[in-house]
Amino acid sequence: MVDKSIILDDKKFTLGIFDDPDKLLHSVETLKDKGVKIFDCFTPFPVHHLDKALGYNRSNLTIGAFLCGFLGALSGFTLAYAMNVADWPMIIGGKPNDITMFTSFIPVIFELTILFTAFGMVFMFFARSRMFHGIKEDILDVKQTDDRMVLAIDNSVEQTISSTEIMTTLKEAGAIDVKGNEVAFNTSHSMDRGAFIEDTTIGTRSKTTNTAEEIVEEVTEEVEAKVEQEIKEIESSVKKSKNTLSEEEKSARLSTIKHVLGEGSIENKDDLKKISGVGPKYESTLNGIGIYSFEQVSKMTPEAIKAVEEITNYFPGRIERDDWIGQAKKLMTK
Amino acid sequence: MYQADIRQPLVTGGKTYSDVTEDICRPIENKPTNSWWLGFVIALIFLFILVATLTWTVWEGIGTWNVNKTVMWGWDITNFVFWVGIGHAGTLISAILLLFRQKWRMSINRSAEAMTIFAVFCAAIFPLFHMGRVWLAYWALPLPNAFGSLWVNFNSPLLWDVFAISTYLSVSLVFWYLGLIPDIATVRDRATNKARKFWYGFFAMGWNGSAKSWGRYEVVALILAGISTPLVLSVHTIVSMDFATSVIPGWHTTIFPPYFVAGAIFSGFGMVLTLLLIARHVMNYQNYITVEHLEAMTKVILLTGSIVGLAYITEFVIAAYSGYQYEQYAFANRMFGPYAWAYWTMMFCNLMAPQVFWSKWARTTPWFIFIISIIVNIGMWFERFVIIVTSLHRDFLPSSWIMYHATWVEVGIFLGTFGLFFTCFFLFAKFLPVINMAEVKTIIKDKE
Repeated sequence: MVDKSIILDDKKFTLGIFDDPDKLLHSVETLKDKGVKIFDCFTPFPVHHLDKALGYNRSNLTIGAFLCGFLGALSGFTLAYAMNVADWPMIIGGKPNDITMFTSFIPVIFELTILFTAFGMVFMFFARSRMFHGIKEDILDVKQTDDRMVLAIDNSVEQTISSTEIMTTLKEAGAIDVKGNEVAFNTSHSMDRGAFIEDTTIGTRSKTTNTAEEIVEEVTEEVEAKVEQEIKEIESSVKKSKNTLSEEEKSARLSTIKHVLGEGSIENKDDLKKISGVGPKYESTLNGIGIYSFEQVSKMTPEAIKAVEEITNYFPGRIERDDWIGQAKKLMTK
Repeated sequence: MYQADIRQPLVTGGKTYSDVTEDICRPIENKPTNSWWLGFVIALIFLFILVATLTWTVWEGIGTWNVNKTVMWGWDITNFVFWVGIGHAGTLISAILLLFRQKWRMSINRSAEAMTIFAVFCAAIFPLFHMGRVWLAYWALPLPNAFGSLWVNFNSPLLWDVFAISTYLSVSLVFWYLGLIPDIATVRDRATNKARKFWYGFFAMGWNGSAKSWGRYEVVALILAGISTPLVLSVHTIVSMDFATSVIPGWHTTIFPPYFVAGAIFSGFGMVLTLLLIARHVMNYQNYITVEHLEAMTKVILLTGSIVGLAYITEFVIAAYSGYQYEQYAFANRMFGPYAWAYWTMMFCNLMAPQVFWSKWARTTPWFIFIISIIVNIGMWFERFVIIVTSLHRDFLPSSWIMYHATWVEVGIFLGTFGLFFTCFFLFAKFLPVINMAEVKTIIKDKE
């Protein structure tokens, strides 16, 4: 009765990561048309028609629910009959105490029917989905319960088309990321959510690789990540001792900012506080280095962002993470 | 799907999926705000009042209440029916509105269901302690009597109540928990500390959002909604039978079941509005609980308020028409007797006040809705008070006529249940997602 495939242990998957349910649905349909066997999809919310597209039948839990309800009704009747008719009839207010008091049983029968149906069905649901308290979750992408939709294809299953073809199809269908060789992991292995979200492909999960090329790639990536991490650490330790930039460096940064964002002026000043991440104090800092308007913020390039972060001692990476450019663009149109 | 331009979006502010997660997880992942602490401490003080007055009741005996041979049900059963009634909106919103495919339910169903559960906790206190010897409360269960083979009486609506309320509480809990699982999993996968990871992981039961699970999940949710709908209707029907199957003038009427159910939904929506208007303001959820939501709820208030009003008038007309002097007296006594003030308060709050919602301005002005929602809460408490006390205090035997006034203990218990209710609600708002993230994510691009 239990569906074994729900447990994803040790399987290797090709993943397509999506940020739009329609694109996910579309790519499921495209892959199905090509005869690709899809393992399952993982979404943060129910995507309509996805189960049909994947070829799943409607769950049979309804039959179980009916049986539970029937059992409940039977128990209700048995309970009342055994107590008030069979075992110990009571005469209260001259009311009937034989089977003709059946009408008085109806509320109890009704309530027990519902009680049994609800609990029976929910327990069956948990059993069928292999859910119980304390089980470790299998997660393929840490954001699959947040805003990412994951399409998983089991690599051990023979497919009609090659894995590269599958991956290109996924890319073409609008996947924001395609990964070739992933295993499920458990979010409790790593507490550092930041590391996950910044870069979900590196080292933090146990990975198995097939080709030498991939191994080299992965090792390089990991080394790069480590170096990056170290640089960040050094940067942040340096940040702590303030005024790290010499005057020359400052003016260099300022000219970069001016060059990229153009001259701002107090006249067309926008309320930069509307950008999440900017408070009153930081707003005046930004004004101090010549950034006044949403238009300027929206024009930011990676180098300008870096310059702004360095010159204002702002949290490295935060501007991109909070998507200031996108925010500013939205705010401009308002 | 085609959507008319005239429709308003269900979620405003151009939210993305990750915005929804961020916004709704914020109270869980951050330290509580000062307003949360203020509210929580006040609620705890009232909870303390509840514990103190209940302890006193048990210690000193049921004589600390003013209920007696004539008015054997006073504030206690009034409060019981009041709280059970409030509990009805939660299941109504999540079950009946699900069957009717009303998408606006999605951002309010979680908190309304929580409210249901906490309200039923509060309600259960009253009949239990009214038994006097609360440690013998298990005698209400279908167990053999300790002195022989006497069983519970299945002819009694009070026994039906035991079954109805306990089923209602447990099924509501299951429904609520099932809806919470995907959201608990979201919190789990965002958790940054071990305790949160462990506890949310424990309660998420390994949920990973696979399409197979979602398929089953939706079937289960639909069936639960399908069976919860008659359950909601049955619970207050059975509560009304506590009265209607008796022979007391003013209680012995066939109109009671539908009238009580409408009243329960009316009072439930009153309380939902009170709570959500506070919550959306304090937690900045104006984009999720929009004015459209408020307007939809005020329409339910208007409808059920009118049904209740119609029932009041019908009851009165039927009593006058019955030619039965006791029935006629019971209603004349309600309107012009010593408790007339309670009757007219009820008429004003439940029949008149909600009629302002015919105006679009009234339906879309939050502060004004808040005032009306409070009036509805007060009115529905008085409805139960009027039904119970005015029907009892002058019975068939004029020598036993009395006036009933609550003692400080009874008042304290009632105020204390608000403490219990709000303590639970504040804890809920801190530890669980107040809005169903998974469902809201399906409608952020939709319109009403």
